[in-house]
Amino acid sequence: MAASPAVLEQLRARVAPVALAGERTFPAPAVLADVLSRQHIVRGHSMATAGPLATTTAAQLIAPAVAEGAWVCLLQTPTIGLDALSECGVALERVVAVEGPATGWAELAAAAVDGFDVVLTTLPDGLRPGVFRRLIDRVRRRGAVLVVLGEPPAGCAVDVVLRSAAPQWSGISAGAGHLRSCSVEISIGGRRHGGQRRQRVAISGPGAS
Amino acid sequence: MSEALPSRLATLWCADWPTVAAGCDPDHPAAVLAANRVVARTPAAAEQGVLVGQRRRAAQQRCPQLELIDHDPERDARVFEPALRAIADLSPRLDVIEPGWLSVATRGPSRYLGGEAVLVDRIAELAIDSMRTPVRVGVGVADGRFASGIAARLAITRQTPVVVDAGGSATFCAPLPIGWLHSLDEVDADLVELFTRLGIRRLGDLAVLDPVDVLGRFGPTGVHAHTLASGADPRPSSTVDPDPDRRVEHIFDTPVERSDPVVFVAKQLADEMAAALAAIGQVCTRLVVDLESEHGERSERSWYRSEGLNAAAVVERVRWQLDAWISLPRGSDQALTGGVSALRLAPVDRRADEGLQLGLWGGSSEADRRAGRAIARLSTLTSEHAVTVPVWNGGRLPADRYRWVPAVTVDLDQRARAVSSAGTGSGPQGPWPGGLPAPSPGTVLVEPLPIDVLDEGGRMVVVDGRGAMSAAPACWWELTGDEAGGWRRVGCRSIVEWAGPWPIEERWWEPERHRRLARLQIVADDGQAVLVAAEHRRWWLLARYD
Repeated sequence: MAASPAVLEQLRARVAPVALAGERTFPAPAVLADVLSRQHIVRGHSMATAGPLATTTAAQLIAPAVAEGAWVCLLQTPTIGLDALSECGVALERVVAVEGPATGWAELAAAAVDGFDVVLTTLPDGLRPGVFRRLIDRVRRRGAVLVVLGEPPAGCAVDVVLRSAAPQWSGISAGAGHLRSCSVEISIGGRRHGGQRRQRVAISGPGAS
Repeated sequence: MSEALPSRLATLWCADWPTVAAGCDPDHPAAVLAANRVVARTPAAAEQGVLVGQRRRAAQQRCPQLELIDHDPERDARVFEPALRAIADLSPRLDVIEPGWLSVATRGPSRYLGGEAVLVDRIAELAIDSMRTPVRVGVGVADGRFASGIAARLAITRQTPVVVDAGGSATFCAPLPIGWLHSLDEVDADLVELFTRLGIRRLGDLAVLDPVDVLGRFGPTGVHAHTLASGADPRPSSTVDPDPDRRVEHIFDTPVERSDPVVFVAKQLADEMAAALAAIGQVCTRLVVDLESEHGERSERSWYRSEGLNAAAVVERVRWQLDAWISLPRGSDQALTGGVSALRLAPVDRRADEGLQLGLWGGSSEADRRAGRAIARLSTLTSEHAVTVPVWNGGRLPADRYRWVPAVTVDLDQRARAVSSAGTGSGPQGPWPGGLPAPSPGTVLVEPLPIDVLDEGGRMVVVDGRGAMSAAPACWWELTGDEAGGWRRVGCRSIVEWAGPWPIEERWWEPERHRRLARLQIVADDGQAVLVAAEHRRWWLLARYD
C-alpha cells in the first residue's frame, strides 16, 4: 500500500536531524520585541530581570512560552503575585511552585530545569559561581529557559539581562484614580548583548484606557 | 458479586493530632502550620477562634499569644507509633489512614473480647495509655470506612463511643450534613459546595437520588459520593481477587543501618509496583509495608488512602514507618537493634484506576507528561508539601486570591478548572466587588510588613470608621522589631502620588473572621509603587508593584 505524501512528510519531520540551537525557540513577547532585537527567545538561554519592575518584566518575558504549552516552575519565589502573572498572560494551570531549604537550591534547580521548560527563580545568598555555571550548562543542554529575578551577583553571568529604570505610573494623583499603567525604560545587557539597547515600554492593565 | 454488607470497622480518631504530636498542652493556645496555614490547633486556640485552614496572620490576630509550630508529618507518624503498636496487639490487621487515624476490622477482636462495646473501650484505653501527652480520642464502629470515620469524629463531640448497629449506616448518615464528604477527604470542596447550592444539604438527600441520575449529572465522583452517603463502602476490603500476586520485595545483601538507602530502594519498588498495577489499569488503595531487620524484628503496617497511593505516596509511607520504627524506645518489643535486611510492599486492596483516563481531545502533551514526572521527582527531593500548584480561592486582598495545594494531590489533567474555577462560576473573571483593578502587584508579601505612614507634619495618618483620612500622606517608614519590644523606624521614602483609601469590611456577619481595613496605593519618589493597608490603627505593606 502506498503511503500518502502527507504521512511521508510527517515521517520525514520525525526522523529529521536535531534542530539547530537558534531554531529551538519560544516566541518573544510583543512588548519586549524591540529591546530583545529578535522575535524569539532562544531555548537554552539563561536570563535575568533586574530593576524596580523586575517581576513584571519576567512575567512578560515568559508569558508567550507558557501560552504555547510550556510549564513554569517558580523555584523559591514565595512572594510572586499570581494575578500579575495571569494579567501578563501566563496560564496558571501550568505553574508549579517549589520551596525548599536554601542549601538544596542547586539540586532543586537542576531537577526543575530537567522537567520544566521555564524556570523562574531567585538566587540564594552566597551561591558559588561554579555551582551556577554548572546549572547554566544544564539549562543549555536541556533547552530550557532560566529566568533569574534580581541582578545576578558577580561571577554568575547570564546570557541576557533586562534592567528596568524607574517606572512612571499614570492614572493616580493626589488621592484620586488608581494605578492604571506605567511606562518604563528597559535596557538590555549580558554576555550575548555587548551593545546596550534601550526601549520605552508601556505596561498596562486591561482596565487602562 | 452479591450485595454483601460492607465490612464492620472500628475507627480511632485523635482530635488535632499534629498538635498532640508536637507536645502541646491542650489548655495552651497553639497551632500547627503548613505552608502558612493552620492545619491543626489546640482546643484552647479553637476557643479563641483559630480555624483550620486560616492564614498565619489571621490566626495571630484572633489570638496574639498563639504558639506557632511547623508541621512535620514524620513527627506525627513517629509519635503515633506507640498507640499503633498497642492496638496492633489487639488486632494485627489495622489500617493507618494517616497519623492519628486508623481503623480495625471488628469481627475477630470483638468476639474475642466479648462485644463491640468492650472493644471500643479497650481501643480508647490502649490509645490513651500509650500516649505520654493528654489526647482526646474518639472511637466509632459502623459498617464501612466512611460511616465509621464519621462515628469516630462524632464520638469526640459526644464524649462517648458511637456504635452504629449493623446495617444501620445509611440511617446513621442520612441526617448528617453533606460537608462530611469533604471533611473525610472523600470528595473535593467544589463538589460539596455544588451539592449545597443545589439544595442537597444532608447525606440522606443525596442517598435518595437515583444513582443513574447522579452518574449522569456528576460523573464517577458523584457516584462515589452517592455510594458513601448511602452507607455502603465503595472500596470494601477485597478478598475475592487473589490472582497474580503483586507483592514486590527487596532483600538487602548487607543490612543497611541508615534510612536513606532503604527509602531509595522503596522508591524503586514503588515505581515497579505502580507500573505493574498501571499495566492492568489498577491503582493501589491499601498497601502493606513490611520491614525486617537482620535480627529478625519486624514492622508491618497497612496504609490506606481512598484516592489511591501513587509511587511518591508509597515512598512517603515507607519513610514514615521507618522513621517511627527507628525512634522506638530501646528495649520495647520489636525495637530495631540492627540494620534493615528486607523490605516488602504488598498492594492488598486495588481498584480500577479512574484518575488517569485521558480525554479524546486535548490529551496531555509531552511537556505535560514531563512536568508530571518532574513534580514526582521534586516531591521526593523535598517533600510532597513543598511542591505546590495554585488554586483559585477568591478574595479582595492580593494574598487571599490563590492558595497553594500539594501538586501530587492534584489531578494535573484537570488543572484549568481548579485555577479558574470557571465550573463553579466564580473564577478570577467573576465579580469581587471591592477588589482592586488591574494591574495587580508583582510581589505579594507572605507576611505583611509593618510601616508608618506620616503626613506633612510628621503625624501618623489615621483612617476613621467612615473611610476618611486625617491628612494626605507625605512619607512612609519601614519598621523593624516586634509588638513587645517596640518598633524602630528604618528607611524613609517620600510619597509623590497616592490614591485611596478604599475601605473593605469582610465577613461582618461572622464575629470571628471579621476584618475591616482601608487600602491605599502609593508611589514613592523613585517610582516604586506599593499597596498598603490600615488595620487596627496600624499600617501594613501588603504588596509591591514591581
